[in-house]
Amino acid sequence: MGDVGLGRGNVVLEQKFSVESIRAFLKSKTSYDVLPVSYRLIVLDTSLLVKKSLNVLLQNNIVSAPLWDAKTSRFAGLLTSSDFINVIQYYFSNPDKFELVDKLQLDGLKEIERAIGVEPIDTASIHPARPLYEACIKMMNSTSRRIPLIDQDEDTHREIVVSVLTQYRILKFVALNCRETHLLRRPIGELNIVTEKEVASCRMTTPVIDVIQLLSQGNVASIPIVDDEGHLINVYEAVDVLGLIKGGIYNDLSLSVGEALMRRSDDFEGVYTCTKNDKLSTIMDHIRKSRVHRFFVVDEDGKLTGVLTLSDILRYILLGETGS
Amino acid sequence: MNGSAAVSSSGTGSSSERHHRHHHHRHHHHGQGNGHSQQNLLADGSHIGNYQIVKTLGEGSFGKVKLAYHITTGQKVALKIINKKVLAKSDMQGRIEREISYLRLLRHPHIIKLYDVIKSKDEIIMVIEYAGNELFDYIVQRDKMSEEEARRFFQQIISAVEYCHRHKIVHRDLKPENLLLDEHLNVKIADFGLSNIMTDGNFLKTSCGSPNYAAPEVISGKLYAGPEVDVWSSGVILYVMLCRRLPFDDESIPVLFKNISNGVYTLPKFLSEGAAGLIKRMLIVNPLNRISILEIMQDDWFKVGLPTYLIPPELKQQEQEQQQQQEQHDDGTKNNSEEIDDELVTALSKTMGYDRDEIYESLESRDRTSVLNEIREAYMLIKENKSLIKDLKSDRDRSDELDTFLAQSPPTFQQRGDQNLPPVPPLQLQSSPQQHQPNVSRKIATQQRAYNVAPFNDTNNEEDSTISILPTSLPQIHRANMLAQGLPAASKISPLVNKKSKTRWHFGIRSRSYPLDVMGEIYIALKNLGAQWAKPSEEDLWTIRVRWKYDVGQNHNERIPDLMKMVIQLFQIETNNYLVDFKFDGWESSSGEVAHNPNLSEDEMSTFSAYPFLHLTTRLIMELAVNSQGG
Repeated sequence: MGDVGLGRGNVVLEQKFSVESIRAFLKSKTSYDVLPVSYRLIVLDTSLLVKKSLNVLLQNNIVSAPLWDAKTSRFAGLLTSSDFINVIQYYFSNPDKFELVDKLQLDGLKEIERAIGVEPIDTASIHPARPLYEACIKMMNSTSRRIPLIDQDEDTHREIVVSVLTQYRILKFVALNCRETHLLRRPIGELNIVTEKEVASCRMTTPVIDVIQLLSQGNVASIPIVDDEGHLINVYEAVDVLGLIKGGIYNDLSLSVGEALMRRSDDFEGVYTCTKNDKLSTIMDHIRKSRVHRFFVVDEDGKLTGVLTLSDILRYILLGETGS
Repeated sequence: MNGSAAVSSSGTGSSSERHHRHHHHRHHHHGQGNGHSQQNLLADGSHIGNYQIVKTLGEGSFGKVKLAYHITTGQKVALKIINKKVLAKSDMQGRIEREISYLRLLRHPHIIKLYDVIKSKDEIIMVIEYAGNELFDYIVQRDKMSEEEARRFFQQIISAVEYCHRHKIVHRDLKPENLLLDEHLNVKIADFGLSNIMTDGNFLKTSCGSPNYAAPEVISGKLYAGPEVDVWSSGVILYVMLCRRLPFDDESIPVLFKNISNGVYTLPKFLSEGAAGLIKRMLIVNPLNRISILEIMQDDWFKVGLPTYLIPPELKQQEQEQQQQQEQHDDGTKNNSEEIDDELVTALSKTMGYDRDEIYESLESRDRTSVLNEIREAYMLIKENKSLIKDLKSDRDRSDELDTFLAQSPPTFQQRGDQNLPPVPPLQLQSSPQQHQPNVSRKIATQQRAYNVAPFNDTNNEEDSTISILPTSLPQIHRANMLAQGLPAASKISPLVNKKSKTRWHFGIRSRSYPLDVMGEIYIALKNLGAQWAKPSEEDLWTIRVRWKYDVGQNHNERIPDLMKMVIQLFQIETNNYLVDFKFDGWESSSGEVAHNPNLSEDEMSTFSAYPFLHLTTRLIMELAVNSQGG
């Protein structure tokens, strides 16, 4: 397969071939195929207090959980870090409502979200037997970057939350199972998949509440932190919000983002950087090996030029290379 | 438990969740305990390794403490038995064991020595120096302690604390129980370094609810507890020695907390100006304004009669430099690099199990990877141990004490070193402009100790990859950078520790009540909830078959089964200990129509959604809890 040095043209062809075969692979598999033989699923009842749900997430080292409404006996959406961001913003603009925030139950999030005018809790879902490709398309259109798998039992027609698929899990599944990812050798700079303009960034001294606002306004999962010259220093992630407000302490909102990041657990693996010359083959390799969610694109001096997220990669695999 | 439910992917689950709190009973760790151990392995009179267990000395917050003696030498030791279950982050067992090995290198005449670590399947047994008395018993027995006598104890305490801080270990729990005395009236501090390792870092819970020695930032629940907290506690200890009472004491805990937080206490008139001044600077509420350990060591009242061996190398170095500057102005350029001591390398490879080449590599390279740093730190530690002994020896008027320190030394590598001291390598002093530099870098190095670099070497022949991890984004480096900027607030923020969930999973619920009473409770609860049950048969009084309307007010389709069936059964686990098990048993339709197949197999049962079952079981358990509280 193109071992002979036929040069660039060959690389381009192989890339196209590779994307097409990955796409065919996604169409041939179901979400169910992605599930491991045994796994753990944590589902939260909607009558649980928001602050308790935060502890459950942190204790179990997870960042989201499907919700269950026992009154209707139905799946009630996905709790994610953006819900906590909404609560923070609500509290920040209505500090007098502390009581309310403290006693807020998960089923009360809707009102908060209505009050600050953001999208309500994500309720998109898919049946586990549908093609994986379909799950990916549906996931791309949802804000939470993940999709719950919901089944129904045959006799009582009641819903069963089977699992939640994330972009990371799907891309890792692809990286593990598709040898064709090795043929993705075009530099990412050529593919027009890197978000370059409109990457919101902040400084180490920016108040964390402003950064949280940037996350929510841009509907992004991370905000890069740069210095005066534009060198990338660190990144604030939406999931960092969980640690920030642990224990219901909202006082910490006056901190700078640099201070807020001092709460990050020592287990944090670090921010991944790459350049526009890197290839998806190596990127997929990293996805296979470590829990990486995005790559920040820097130039030779370490200045931030863009970001490549898992959504960008997934979108490219699903919809890219369709032209001539 | 209301609301949070978890299911395994297999779907069926007749389990309910219960939270278990660990109750720790903290006694004096050298007090009398009731020495009955359930494990034969650790019973009195039995052997562990080379130690014969004599009796239980007490129970610490991390487990039992036993008195034992070394079989061949007869040396008394204490065995601190740590149940692995109380270790923080059980998934980081390896790291914790390394930490304990690190503690083993701590050598200071006024710190209880960790001689050895014995690991068994469920326990980590720390073989520690035995000291029979408590400083505070001594204080209480005496009418009044002179300032001279108190100062001697205080100097020993501060020197030990400084030594540990220098090696990045904060005690965090200095209090009377941890201050022991040997037969020569030397202080020995116990439990250094343990607060870092153990899950149970919660002071208020573990110290008998007596926070008298805890710093304001500790009781106010600030996550950060740095070296400043040990200064505060030492200040309280000094106060107690001099005044024979606590500076902060009140029967009402809220009042006590308020006094500590506001730093409200009184100094008796009889205190000398020097002692009072020092206490005042140690008991400053704002940790940033509080005197540091090194500043204490330079305090005039403190320095009176201070033995040389208690002066940390840093201060000694300063003094020597001053002297040198006075004596000779220029002595040519000094060699900054030190020679590596072969003896130390051997010792290090023996205690920590490092490869010799690895040690040389770590000492020679400037590489900042975690493993190399760890080795370098360990080397520095044992190097200091040696120079400490040298100081002790040169302190002629203290040669008596020296014997006692050395006599206490254990059958480990150190003893060998102690008995026939190899020539101590000449300490090459660094010139003063560079003096602070190594300290800073060493600090960063320690923070990296826990960090493991992601395995990147095996990125298959992708030489052109430019993917990397941004160093400044690593939490340890970020924190060091923030602290280097000297932001006052920054020092108070500490990283989130992902504690392992303390939730344990059980089948059903447990009860110690009389079995018929338990059954009665269940029937009452079922009745209150509107469930129906079949009359139990004579042969099987302990099984209840329940039918319960699952009304979610939504499905009006009559063909959808709406009655959930459940089997509730009482089991005996052991004498006076029963278990109520809840089991899902399929669905029925209230229209009289039986769901198509009344005899479902386990497999088919698991195709049903588990949530309605979990929901109803939760309601039943909550009802049972309410009833039992009422009764």
